[in-house]
Amino acid sequence: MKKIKEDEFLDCTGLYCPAPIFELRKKIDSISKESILKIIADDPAAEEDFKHWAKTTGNKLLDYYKEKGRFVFFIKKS
Amino acid sequence: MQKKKILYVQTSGIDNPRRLYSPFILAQTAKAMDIEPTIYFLGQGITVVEKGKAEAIKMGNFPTLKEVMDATIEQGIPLLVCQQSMQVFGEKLTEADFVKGAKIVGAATLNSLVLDADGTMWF
Repeated sequence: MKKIKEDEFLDCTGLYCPAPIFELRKKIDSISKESILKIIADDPAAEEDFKHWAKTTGNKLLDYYKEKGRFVFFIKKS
Repeated sequence: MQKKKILYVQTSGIDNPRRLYSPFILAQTAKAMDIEPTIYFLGQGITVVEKGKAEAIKMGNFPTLKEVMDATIEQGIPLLVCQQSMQVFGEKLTEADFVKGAKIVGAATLNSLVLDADGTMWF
């Protein structure tokens, strides 16, 4: 697996729907275009929600995986 | 690119607290997804935006309905109230009886918003 190097980081651990999406929105708005944002979330809803958020907003979900019960996402800001 | 639009219609009132959070939560989430949300209160639904009513509603771990509604208004999400419902269900309520930020509109607006929206959800 290709290792992705992030420019920014967001920890959504302990947050549940819809809070992670609100945090993601705030964070994305605060970073520069083309930046790669790494997000960690333990909300089981995050897997589908983050995929759909990226699809709807046009930001690119580069990769995601589950690690120690938490999801790790890499989203590139468009 | 023009934003997609979702219209949420609330027909349930404060006597049915389990149905009241969803439109506010979904509308705020829509905003965070670059979607343009609007919430329309129809029939019994108008009681949700009547002053003083949402304060008394609290479900599970969520904040009170009032707090969720205030956050929705702060985000600039339009809350529209059906004028006829105010007369029929509300015993002649006026605009002053509703929370600040709620706008009184009519049936033509709802029909038009439905046609204009990319999707609607009814609660």
